[in-house]
Order: sequence, then C-alpha cells, then structure tokens
Amino acid sequence: MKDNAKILVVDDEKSIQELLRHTLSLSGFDVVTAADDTEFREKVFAEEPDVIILDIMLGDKDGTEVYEALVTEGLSREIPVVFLSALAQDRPPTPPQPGRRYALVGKPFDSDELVSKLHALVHSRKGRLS
Amino acid sequence: MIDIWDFHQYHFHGYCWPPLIVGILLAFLGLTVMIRDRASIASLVFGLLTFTGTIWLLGDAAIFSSPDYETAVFWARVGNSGVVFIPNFLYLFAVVVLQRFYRYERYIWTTFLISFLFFVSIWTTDSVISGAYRYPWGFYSKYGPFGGGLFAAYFFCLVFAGIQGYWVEYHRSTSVSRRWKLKRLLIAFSIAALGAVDYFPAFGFPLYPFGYVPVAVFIVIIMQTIWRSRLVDITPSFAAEHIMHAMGDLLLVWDRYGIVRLANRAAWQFFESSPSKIIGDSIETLLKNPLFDPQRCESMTDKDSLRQDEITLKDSQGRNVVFNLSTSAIRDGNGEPLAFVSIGKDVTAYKQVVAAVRRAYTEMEQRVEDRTAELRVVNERLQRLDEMKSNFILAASHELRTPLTSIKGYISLILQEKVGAITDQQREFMSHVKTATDRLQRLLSELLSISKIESGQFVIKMETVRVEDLLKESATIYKAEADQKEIALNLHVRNELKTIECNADKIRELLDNMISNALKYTPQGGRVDIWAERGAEELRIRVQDTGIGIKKEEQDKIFDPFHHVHKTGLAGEESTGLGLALSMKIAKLHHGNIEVESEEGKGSVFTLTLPLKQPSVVEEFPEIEVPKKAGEEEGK
Repeated sequence: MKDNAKILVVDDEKSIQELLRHTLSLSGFDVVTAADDTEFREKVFAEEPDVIILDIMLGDKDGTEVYEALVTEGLSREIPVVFLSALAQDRPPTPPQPGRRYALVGKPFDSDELVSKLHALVHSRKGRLS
Repeated sequence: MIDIWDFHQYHFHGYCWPPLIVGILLAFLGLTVMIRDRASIASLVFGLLTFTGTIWLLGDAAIFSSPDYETAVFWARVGNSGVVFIPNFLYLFAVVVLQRFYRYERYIWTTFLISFLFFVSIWTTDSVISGAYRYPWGFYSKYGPFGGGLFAAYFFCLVFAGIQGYWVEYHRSTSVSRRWKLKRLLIAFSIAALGAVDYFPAFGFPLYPFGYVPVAVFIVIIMQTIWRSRLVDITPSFAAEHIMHAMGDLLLVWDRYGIVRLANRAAWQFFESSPSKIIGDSIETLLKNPLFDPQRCESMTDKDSLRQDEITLKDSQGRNVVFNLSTSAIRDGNGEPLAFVSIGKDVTAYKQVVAAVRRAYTEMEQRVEDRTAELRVVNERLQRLDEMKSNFILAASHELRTPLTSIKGYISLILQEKVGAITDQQREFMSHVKTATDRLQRLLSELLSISKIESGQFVIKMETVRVEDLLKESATIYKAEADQKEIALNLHVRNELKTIECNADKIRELLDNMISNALKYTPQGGRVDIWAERGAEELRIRVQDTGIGIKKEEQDKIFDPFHHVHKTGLAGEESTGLGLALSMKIAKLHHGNIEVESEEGKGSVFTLTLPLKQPSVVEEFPEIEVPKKAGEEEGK
C-alpha cells in the first residue's frame, strides 16, 4: 500500500484542478489531474488512484456516464468516487448503481469537509482490501 | 173518404199553391243546411224544424184541396202532426244555437214528451183535432176547445221562450258578428212565430190562414244569414275547410294517377293560380318534379310510412323556394290507396339559416385553426424562451459557482495557514473576504431558487412530515446562536401537531429563515418564541421576537426581493435581501401564506399558515431532489 493515498481529480475547470491539487497536497494526498474523459481513461488505469474526484459536468459529457463506461471497461468498483456538482442544490447525479461507493459534494465545497471525507473513504477502502 | 193518394180527386186551386210552394222551399232550406253542415246537431235540429214545418204546410195544401170532410180531417191530423213538434224544435234549436243544451236538457225532453202526447192525442182522440171547418178556400182543421187551446198555449210558451233566449243573448253578447247573427235569428223567428195566425181559422174565425207568408219571410232571412254567416255550430268539416285554407303550408290532394283533386289557398297563392287551374293538373307538372310521376305514385302504395321529400320550386318572382314535402296515402277499407295528401312546408329560410350557420361555423373553425397555429408559434417561442431561461439559470449556476469554489478554497487554505503564516491584519482582511464570499454564495443560492420557482421549474415533492420534529430541528440548530447572543429561544406547542403534507427541506429552509431573522434583529437579553398550533384545516407557526420591529410603511415591502429594512443585523450580519422573498415563495408553493405584525422598537410576529393537506399536483417536470450541501450517500 502506498504511503500517501492517491487522488485522481477529473474536472474540466483548470482552476478547480489547481485548487484541489493545492488543497489535497497540503493535506497529505498525492494528486493526479485529468481534464476530460480521454485523459480520465488513460490516467485511471495507469495511476490506480485510491479515490476519484469527478466533476459531474465534464465539459459536454456527463461525468457519471463516463464513469460507468469505464467500469464496463474494467475499472474497479472498489475505488470510491466523489462526485463534484455545481448544481448540487438543483439536480442530483445519476442514482448510484448498487455496489458502488460514492459521495456527492456541491460546489463551492468546504475544503476541510472534503479532506475529512477523503480520509474516511481511503481508510474504509484500506479496511476492505486488507 | 177517397183514396188519399189519388191526387186526381183533389181540388187544387189558387189557395193551395202558396202553402205547397212555401212548404217545399222550407224543405229545401232544411236539406241545404243539413247537407252543408253535416254531423252538426244544430243543422239536424234545424232540418227537423223545417221538416215539421213542411208537413204542416203540405198538410194545409192537402186540406184546402180535399174533396170531402173525412179526407180533410185526415190531412188535418197529418198537418198538425208536424205542427205539434214545431214549438219543440223551435225551442230546441234556440237552446242549441245559444249553446245551452245541457243546462235545459230536462226541459227539452219534457217538451218532447208533451209534443208526443199531443201527437198521440191527434190520432187517437178528438180533443185536439175535432174535425174540419169548410171555408171559402177549402177545408181547414178544427181544434177542440180544450185540447186545441192547451196546445196553442203550449205552442206560444215555447216560441216565446226561444225568442226570449235570442233576445237575452243578443243584449249580452259583445261580439259584433254574433250580435248581427242573433239579431237576424231573433227577427226571423219572431216573424215565423206570426205563422200562428193560422190558429184563428182553427178555432172558427174565418181568416185565411196566411201563416205561410211569415214562414216565407223567415226562409229569406235565414237564407241570407246562412249565406253571410254560419248559422250552425262549428262542425268538423267546417273546421277542416277553414284549417285547410288557413294553413301557411301548401296542401295538395292528388289521386293515384297523379291528378290534383284539392288544393288549399296557400297553394293557389304560391302558384299564382286559381283552384280551377290547379285542380285537374298533374302533380308532376305542378311540382315539376319527376318524384311525383304516376309510376312513382303507384310505388308509394307499397309504403305505409310518411314520405319526406325536399323539392325546390320557383315562385312567381322566379326565386327558388325549398319545400319539405310530406306525403301520405288515403286508403280505403281494404288498404288500397285512393289518394295522396302532400303538405309542403317552406323551409327556405330555415335552409338559409342552416347554411349561414354552417358557413359561420366553418369560418370559425378556420379562425380557430389559424389562431391555434399562431398560438402554437407563440407557444413554441415561449417554450424556447423558457428553455433559454432555464439553460441560463443552469449555466449561471454552474459558471458562478465554479469561480466561487476557487475563491472559497484558496481563502480557506490561507486562513488555515496551509501555505504559510499570515499576520493578524491579513487574517482580518481574509475573514472579510470569506464573509463576503459566503454572502455571495447565499445570494446566488437564493436567487437561483427564486428564479426556478418563478419560472415554474420548481415542482416540490410533498411528503408527510411530523411538524414537531421539523420545529425542534430548527430550534436546535439556532439554539447555540441564541445562547451566544443571550437571547431566550423557546418552542411552544399549543396542541398535538401531528403531521402535515409538505416538502420537508423547503419548510425547514423557511423556518430557518424566520428564526434566523428573528435572532438577527433581537438585541441581547431579548426573546424569540416559536408558537405552533394545529387548526381544523391549517397549521399556524408564529415566530415572535422582542426585536427592533419594522416600520409600518415598510411592512408591505418586506417580502419584495432585495428590499432591505435593515442592511445588517444587530450583530453586523449581512442580509441578502432575498430571505423573506424566498420564504414567501416557499409558503405560496405550499398554498400557504406569511403575515407580519410589527411595531417599531417593540418586536415582530411572523405567522406562517400552511394547509394540512395539499391539493393534488400533476408533476410536469422530473422530480428534483435537493441533497444536503456536503452530504454523503453510500450505495451498497
């Protein structure tokens, strides 16, 4: 098991990528970023993150559909996903499929709460894998 | 006594002819009336009256010409057999014409009985006819002093009773035509009564019995009256003829060979012809319609039902007139058709109205279609605008939140000194930035909520919620803030609140707004009380504070978006100006209301009223759930 948990941040907004990179790095996470579904596909299989932070509105694509497509291509269900939504107060994400672990965070989010949630998800995953 | 039927033995002379001729004329009058007005009681009575008069006068002619006493006595009895019933029928006729038969029915039958007794007496005794006188003009009836006198008295009583009836009715009647008729009858019968002069020679006075003269005058007056007016009552045939000619519809009766046999006035007038020209004409030629050719007429005999045809004829001015022709068959006892009756109703105006209505309807349909098409275009445009607005709201929400996320995130990192220590002043400044950012976030959230509600995009999902739980939750959330400000925050439940149909999240938001406002504007040491009471059909929640209150002139505006009564709370909390506006929207979405009572310097009471049950809502938009701000959902 890696010392620092690796977080894959998938968001088409550069500012959000940078904010999360700074926030999570300073909180002890290794951060990898992706800006679109292609980069997401490349990096998720290459980097094997512990948690994925995924923007629901990924450009003109639905982030949840992109995620589901990757699952059918072999992406592990055990990797928790934190969905980011600027419309969290307005529209729910696609309901989760049974067996998946995910969280929903609305923008703008509280950094401390996000970090706490990520730690909890990582611990929970470590517990299942051990 | 001679053979009474051997007329060669009679001595016909000048005195015999007048009564004979008048008698025959009287019979002719009676027959005319009876034939003209068949099945009429009055005509029958009149006919019988004239018949009895004829017997009397023919009897006189026979008496005058009798060759011997016995023959004369025989004819005296015959003649007076008619005479005894004359007063009877005179009286009966008066009663029938004056339409009082049923009132005097008993008297009528009594008079018939009396007349019959006299009739029997004439032929069985000598009390009425006791023999015959011989006068210069021939033999004449000899009345018995008792029987004859009695009969004469009876005669005059009934005659006068009849005349009196005419007299009274004449003076009572207000109709001009009826008065004219009654006057003629009165005169006629009064004159006829003068025929009673024939009683003089019957009692031995040698006066020539010229009673036939007033009877002749009677005949003339009656004929004139009949010619101008109906003497008798309304008979079915009389009524039928008048009805036929009074009809506005054409009436044609034609035989099975298609020849017109009868036509009414409406038909003459339409064809601008006379009855003589129409009658005898072919129905096919008249109606100019092959439907009515003789062969088709034959085929109509096969059908029992009324036949309806619509035909168009040209009137005298060449205009087309549409008739709805109803034709039925007149059949004999064996069911064979004898003739056909066609009644034509002018339906031209009706057809024109129907055509006009149809045109108007078609035009209206076209206009509705055109207007619907216009509305469809407008609706599509509005839908596009609505879509654009929705997309704008969504886009604005996304686009504004993204930079806001960055701002908040970096502020948090700086304030947490994750990128290095900061000075106190820097901390203070960053705190102000955070406060402003938080306000901006709240403003954005509330603005978008109001926009969605106003655009109709927001369809809340109702659920059954325990009211007390909601209230306790909100009170608990704000307890810490209240304690910090040293404000007493209390919840009072008046009665069992049970459950209510509402959207829990939105009502929670509304209550939070009301409580938060109360705390914001209540000074240290004050009170905020939450009262909840359940009524028969609604729930009332009052949030009462001892705060700074609201001016009277401001109270109408506090629910307007961006209206600030006070820019900040007593502790410097900034107000977005949308809280109460959003609260009112939420209340209205629940078919409820918020009212305010306030006095500046003393405090305010905000009362939320919500119906216990919501009317059924048809959801036009997909369900929209609002998860918590940083909520977590784990699927298993």
